[in-house]
Amino acid sequence: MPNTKELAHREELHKRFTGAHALCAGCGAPICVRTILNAIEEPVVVINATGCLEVATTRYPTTAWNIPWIHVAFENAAAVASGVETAYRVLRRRGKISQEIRFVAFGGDGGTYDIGLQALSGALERGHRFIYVCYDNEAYMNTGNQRSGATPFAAQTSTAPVGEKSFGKPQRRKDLTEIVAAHHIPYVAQASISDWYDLARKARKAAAVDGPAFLNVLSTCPRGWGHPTDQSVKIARLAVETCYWPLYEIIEGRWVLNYIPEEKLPITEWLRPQKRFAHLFEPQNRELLRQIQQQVDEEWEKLLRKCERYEAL
Amino acid sequence: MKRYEQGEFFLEIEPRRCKGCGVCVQSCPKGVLVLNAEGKADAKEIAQCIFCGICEQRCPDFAISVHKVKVLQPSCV
Repeated sequence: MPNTKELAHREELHKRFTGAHALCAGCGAPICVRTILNAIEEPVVVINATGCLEVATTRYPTTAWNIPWIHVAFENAAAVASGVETAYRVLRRRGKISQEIRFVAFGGDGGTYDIGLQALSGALERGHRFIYVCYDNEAYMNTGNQRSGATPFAAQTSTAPVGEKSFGKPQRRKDLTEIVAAHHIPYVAQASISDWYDLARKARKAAAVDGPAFLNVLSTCPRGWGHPTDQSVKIARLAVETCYWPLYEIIEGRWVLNYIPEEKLPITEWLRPQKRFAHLFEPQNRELLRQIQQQVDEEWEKLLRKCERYEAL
Repeated sequence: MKRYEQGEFFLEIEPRRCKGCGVCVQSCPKGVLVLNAEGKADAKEIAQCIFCGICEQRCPDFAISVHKVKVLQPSCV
């Protein structure tokens, strides 16, 4: 079986998702999609929730996808994936399809954390064999940066503005990876677009398990986060280095940590380049910065206690 | 399509796909890539290129690709 690096150089896999899409310059989503599709060797059917990825890659009459692709509505990517997977299983049993096919659902954080959560939960619980990938850009970026369940504490969004009486989003983000892990599915992982090999390897593992698999991938958004387009990958990397977005996987209920930074950077390193956190660096908001650092430290400590072993790449 | 050859590898840049985000410029470990006057990715010093393929993996617009001139033997893949 070829390894992920060899798969990345297979020309035919590169044609699954192509360029000339309308996603913004420096967008993290195509990096995430390409890495995952290049890492899976078997034929793939893609199910897409509404979001930037769906809107910008399929402008009528063009499409950026050269593989079977289906989009139904915002909230039901996981439900559609269940249906497609079940139909495939039935046809296979009757001998009408002989190929091994993998089903990959892509949803943004709006379509996964908030709107599509119950469809996702149902599909995971029923145990359909598919991979759900959430490319998490931490707000509803397609419609203009409205807050979502994934938006971090104190981030500025258009529906959680900064002003005299508000400091951005007052609530903390929910931990979807753990919510999904609570479904006792065979494979759950958290990855980032900055760590290519880690993400590709996780996609391979997800494709190999017999049952549902879930990947939560941090994907930067230069327009919404307010950073220069060329910093996209670096900022995703800083999220990993500051332990804001740890890389780990949960294999059959066992927690495995994939990366421990040599020196844990202060969270301000990640916050500073982003305009959505610019207000935190004003003198009156020092307390908020301290709170964010405390939240990150607590989460990291909790994760370290949960992880049974450390397996770097 | 611009093509930059060196030894058994070559780098291809499709300027019509490039949106000039600069991710490749920031990712290149050897400082080969730059944004030209039109704001598109360009290889400045191809002699420095080690053909690691990081730019290809990172480019969100599929504008850069790294290839080997020789066809890979099946045993290598």
